[in-house]
Amino acid sequence: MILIPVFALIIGAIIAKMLNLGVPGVLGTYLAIACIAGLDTVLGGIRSAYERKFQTDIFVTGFVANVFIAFFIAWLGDKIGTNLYTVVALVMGMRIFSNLSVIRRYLLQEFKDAMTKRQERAAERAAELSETGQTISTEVPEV
Amino acid sequence: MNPFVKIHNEKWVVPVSALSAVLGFMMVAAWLTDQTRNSRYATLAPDQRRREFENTVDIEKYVQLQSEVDRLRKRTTSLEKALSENGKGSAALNTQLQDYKAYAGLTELEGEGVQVTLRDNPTAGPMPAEPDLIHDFDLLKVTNELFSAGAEGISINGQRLTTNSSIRCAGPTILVDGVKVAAPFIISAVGDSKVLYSAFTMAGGVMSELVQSSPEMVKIEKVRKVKVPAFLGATGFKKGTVPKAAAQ
Repeated sequence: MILIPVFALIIGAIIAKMLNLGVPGVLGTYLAIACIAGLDTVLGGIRSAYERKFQTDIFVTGFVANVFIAFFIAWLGDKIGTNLYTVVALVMGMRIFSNLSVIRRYLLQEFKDAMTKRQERAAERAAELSETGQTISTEVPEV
Repeated sequence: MNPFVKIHNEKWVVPVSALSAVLGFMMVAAWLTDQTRNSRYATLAPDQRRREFENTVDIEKYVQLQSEVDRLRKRTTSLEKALSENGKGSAALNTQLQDYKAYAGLTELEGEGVQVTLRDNPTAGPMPAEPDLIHDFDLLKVTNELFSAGAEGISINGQRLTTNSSIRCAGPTILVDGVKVAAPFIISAVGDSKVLYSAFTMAGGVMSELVQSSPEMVKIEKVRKVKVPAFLGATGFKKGTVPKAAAQ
């Protein structure tokens, strides 16, 4: 399930590659900053899904707003002669890491749950087998 | 068994995937490609841009050099063919000779380029300080910068620079190949005028050093057609001879 957005990412990348897109000049720099904001929002969406509080409208508006705000801050920084895009990169980078750490914890927990469940099931099956084995072993000498 | 299937609330999948695709699209659009690399570097801070330029392999130039090698190989073949046929040989040799003469600076050269004018600081007063005057090393720096930016021929006040040219000072005057030149110094360079212009005016470059005492000391303009004269000094060798192995 969590792999679906990853595939979607690759599909989007392939489409852009096939269209042979390349944003030149200063717009490309702003777009690169906007990409970091978008990545943070997508990871935040996945995180909120794990936390059972995902809301589509919040997610979509968050993506659009973050991308445009990042774009705007980078543009503004150029206009007033300060490297404001580092601010976006820093904040979004920190949020990406925190989102990823939460997602990692949930994934790890799921993985552990699945492993214990598998072990329990294996133990049950072993118990069943030993029971049937006992009945067989008790039956054999009778025949 | 897939351990990743356990998010019960699944309404997130479609919007997250959709915007994830948009994100992938944006990332590739922002990717540095051969076409966008140069225009993107233009937005970097000047010192950063200079470092980038110093460290990048210029793919365009590499390809150009490859095609140059290819072209020269083909020409060697055509020359060999012409020699073997002997009749056409002299014509082919002559065109090659003309090319070499142009490269050595023994012919006139014209084309697009830039014209740099250097003069002593006009506002300096009767006792000019050291940075108010144009020195021999200023001319050296300027011509060196122009050559490194790809100038194909350079002249200083109508004196063509060649591979053996020298620029030095002798008291109050400057000697180019032993001939006195005086301010204002008009340096004409044939080459890609855009490249020459931007290399010269780059922040931290030669121009910014020269304009420190007065912006009136340096002027550069792109010229659609500039003409540099042929080198008129003596050519030939007194001591050196070309080894036989190289001449064959």
